[in-house]
Amino acid sequence: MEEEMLKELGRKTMFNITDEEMPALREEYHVFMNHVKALDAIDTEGVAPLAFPYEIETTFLREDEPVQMISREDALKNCKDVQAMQIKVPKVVG
Amino acid sequence: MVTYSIEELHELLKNKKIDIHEYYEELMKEAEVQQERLNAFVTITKDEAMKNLDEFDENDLLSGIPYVLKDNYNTKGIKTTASSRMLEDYVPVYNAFAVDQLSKHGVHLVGKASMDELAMGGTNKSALTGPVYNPWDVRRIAGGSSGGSAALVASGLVPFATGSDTGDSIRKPAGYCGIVGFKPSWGRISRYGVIPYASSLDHMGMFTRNVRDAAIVLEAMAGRDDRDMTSSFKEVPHYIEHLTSDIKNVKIGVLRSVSDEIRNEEIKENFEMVVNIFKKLGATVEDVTMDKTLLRTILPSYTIIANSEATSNHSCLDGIRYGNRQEGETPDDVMINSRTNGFGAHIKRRFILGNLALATENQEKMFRKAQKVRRIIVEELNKIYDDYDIILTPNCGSVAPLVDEANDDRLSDEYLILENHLALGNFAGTPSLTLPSGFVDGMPIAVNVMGRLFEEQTVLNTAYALEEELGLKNQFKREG
Repeated sequence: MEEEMLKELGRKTMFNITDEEMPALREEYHVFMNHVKALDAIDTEGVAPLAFPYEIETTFLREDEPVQMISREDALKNCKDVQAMQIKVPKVVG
Repeated sequence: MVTYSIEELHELLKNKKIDIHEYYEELMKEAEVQQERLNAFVTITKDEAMKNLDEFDENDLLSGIPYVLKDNYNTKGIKTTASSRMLEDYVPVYNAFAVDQLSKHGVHLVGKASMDELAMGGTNKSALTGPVYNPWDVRRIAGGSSGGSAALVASGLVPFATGSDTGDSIRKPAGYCGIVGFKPSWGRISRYGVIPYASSLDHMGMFTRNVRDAAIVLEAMAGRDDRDMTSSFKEVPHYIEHLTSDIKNVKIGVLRSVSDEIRNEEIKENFEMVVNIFKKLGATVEDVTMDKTLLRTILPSYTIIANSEATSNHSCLDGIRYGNRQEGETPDDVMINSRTNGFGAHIKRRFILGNLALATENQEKMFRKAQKVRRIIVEELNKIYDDYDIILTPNCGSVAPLVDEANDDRLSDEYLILENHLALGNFAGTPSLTLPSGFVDGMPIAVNVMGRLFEEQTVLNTAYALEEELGLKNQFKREG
């Protein structure tokens, strides 16, 4: 049951988990769930989540104008499969 | 080969006491020797280091200075792997902001340093190129995740290196290697172009062999960057000019809830010696505490937040546009096969558990709960800053572990609190500097000083005063 759940979670995270990798994953899953449980010791009723270390003073919307671009050539430089200046992937539709 | 600090080398170059070409020839040979011993480089960039040697500017302290970048700092045209198979052949098309900042001063890049894969670790054992060894004893780790940077500075090869710090990844290895490691405030140095771990906790910083050099490098790396919306508009002070060892007006809180957990008697004695030095220097030094139940939740909340942010940040590593692409029948298969092949087993586990905490049905009780606990921890920490400029703690409770040494008891307070407390500085974004304080069994040990947000100068001054008193500066260990 637990293995199935973790395998499915792996799939959702875009990984295959082998049988050899499963024991270590299960062990770390239990440590992780103990961490989740440990947080129960703290009463957080009425407390807002803290998403950044402090209130960010620089949050604003900039003008919607292009300010920094890379060339198409540069954008494709690290791609392993390029055809006609486009990234090639297996067929999506038949 | 003689090793120099930034200021020493600058003086020698300025006064033409050494020939810069000969110096760099010798340096690059030594880089190969140290690589054999420490395994600290991913890439040695000799061509890059030897470029423009005749353009030395005697008015710039960093001109002509050799340095090393952690391999998660993007470098245009130079392989940047983050020590992961996924990025083994990745060659960035742009520089990280901090790289451009340093380059303006005419520094010379000697190489890219090994790190834990994607900076997710504290031992540097997960690097694709294998463990990094501690210059003081090669049977031991240099620490992580910025282990390569720490080892190379501690070997005396270069006077400074960059690092990144999400939980303690600059400060722990700095302590293990007997050098200075500084993580300034979150927002002080732009994170643009540095391969992330967990964005709300990631800090850029540096390793040096003395506090003065840390002040010089910080000033060069810092500053507003429009490409990192969280980088600060605050003016960058001239840290080196304002550096002073007069700390009579500084109020230091000794965080006893952490230091009480030291079990090693010699480290305990060393820490008390440091406390007494600060008293002797005229600073106000008083004991402060934090609730231990709360401190025990640093590691749990860190683990949940960091893994969740990491899995989200690295969903882009799919092998399609860049990275290690594996074949597959469908685009999904390509991504799954690429990620399965491209990441180490521990990275996969962390991403999967991060995804677990972000799942709709779990998000409130896991990820949001951890963020709420983080707020309480930060608020409690900030209460100390109402009365104190600096919080003083030991860096950790042991010397650098042996490479094969098992982890400590993970349920003990010594582990939960003492070994994980440095993440307080990441939770709150406060400047935190580790510097050497002595030796145990021939291995360096260290203390940490942490200041208020954007009060880097007070942190540097406090560390400088201690360094002057202890005389533990410009340390290195060289063999081979």
